[in-house]
Amino acid sequence: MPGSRRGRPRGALERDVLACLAAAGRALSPGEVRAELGDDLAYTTVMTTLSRLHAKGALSRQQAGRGFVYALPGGPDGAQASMTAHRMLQLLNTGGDRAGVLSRFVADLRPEDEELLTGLLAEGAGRDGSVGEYPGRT
Amino acid sequence: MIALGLVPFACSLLLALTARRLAGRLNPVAAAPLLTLAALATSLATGIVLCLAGFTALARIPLVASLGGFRADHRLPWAGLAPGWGVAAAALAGVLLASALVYLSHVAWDLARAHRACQDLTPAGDQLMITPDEHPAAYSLPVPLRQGGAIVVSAGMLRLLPADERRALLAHESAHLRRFHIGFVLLASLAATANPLLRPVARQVRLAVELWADQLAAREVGDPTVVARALARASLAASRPRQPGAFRLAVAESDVRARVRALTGLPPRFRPWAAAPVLGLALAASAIAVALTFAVHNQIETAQYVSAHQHGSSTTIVVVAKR
Repeated sequence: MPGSRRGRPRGALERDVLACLAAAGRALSPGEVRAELGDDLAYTTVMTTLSRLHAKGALSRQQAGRGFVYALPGGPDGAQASMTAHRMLQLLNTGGDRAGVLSRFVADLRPEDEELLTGLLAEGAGRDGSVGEYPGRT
Repeated sequence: MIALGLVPFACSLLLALTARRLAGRLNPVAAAPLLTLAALATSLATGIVLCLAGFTALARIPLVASLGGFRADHRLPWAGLAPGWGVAAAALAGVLLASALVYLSHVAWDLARAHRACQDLTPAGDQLMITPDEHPAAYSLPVPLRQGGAIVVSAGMLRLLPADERRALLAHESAHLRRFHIGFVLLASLAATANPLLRPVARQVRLAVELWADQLAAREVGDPTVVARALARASLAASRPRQPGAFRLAVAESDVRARVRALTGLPPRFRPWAAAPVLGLALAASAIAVALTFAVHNQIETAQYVSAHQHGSSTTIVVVAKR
């Protein structure tokens, strides 16, 4: 439905840029971020978002050639952060949600759901050739 | 009058039996608030009826009657109700009220724990927190309130999804926060705790907010199948390594099939008339509860008035004088 495309609401681009850098796991140049987001975004828009995030302290940047590359600040507290993150996920996964205060994106599956979902992904891979976890019938 | 008292229970049962079909005919944007409202109203109504039945049984105990300023042998409402039933109703009302309070304390406790866990994490953006975990996970939390909630995503989840599906996932979670979906879910669950007949209704509210967030995410990304693929990929990856016993809590909660159907099928044709039975049942239950409350109240006042004229005790003269 290209007609109903409304673009991102406020803050969504920052979110997507951060997620993109976290997924990459390394420093990216604005051009790489733009290519990764795979959207009809202007280079300057990506550039502005990255420098705004840097100004907020959400990203670290390094000189690379003539421009900058940006990354999520890893920092020396990485080990401790992953510990707390692990504890957090445990808390959320097990007894931490008796009352249903969280909403989880993933749904729990029954065996017949798994077939449906695998089929859906295979279909998508066959149609537009996107390489996913389930390459399927290309 | 006993028959009237059963109406709110019949309404809850009807609501529970039809919740799935009615919710399926409504746009989730309407279904979530409507079903939540209906669940709350009906649950309140059944609670009131139970309390009234219990009260009329207790009022026949001479001590209670004398405290209330009337005689125990005066004809009270639901005189035909066997005392055993009245006591059972009072006990049931007490148990349900207690379980609702326990549920509320669980909510407070879980929110506090989630809040504390959030403070240990460094936020990557305004609402986004990325954990370095490999296990694919994505949540939205209603806390911290100051920020309007938080989205917690593991790095494993972000690596798993291609860029467009990542965007769909984040848009879905952010829609939960923007529309305050957790409020509907918690209120409906509270109603279902206080009246377990309404459990299927609370389940439909949960599904409706997921469909609602999927809808908003599809609009933001511009393609519903991207949202469906993100859901499929994330669910397949996330549910695989866990042991079957861990599912127990949420087994019937998220109906992945319904969500995929809504995203990949033909655009659904919503029928606004389906709101009428939901509202009708809620209204009927509430009206009966209010009417019965007034009826019992009036009869107690009559009993007090009669007793005051027979005995002339000092406390009730005040009541009479005020009238």
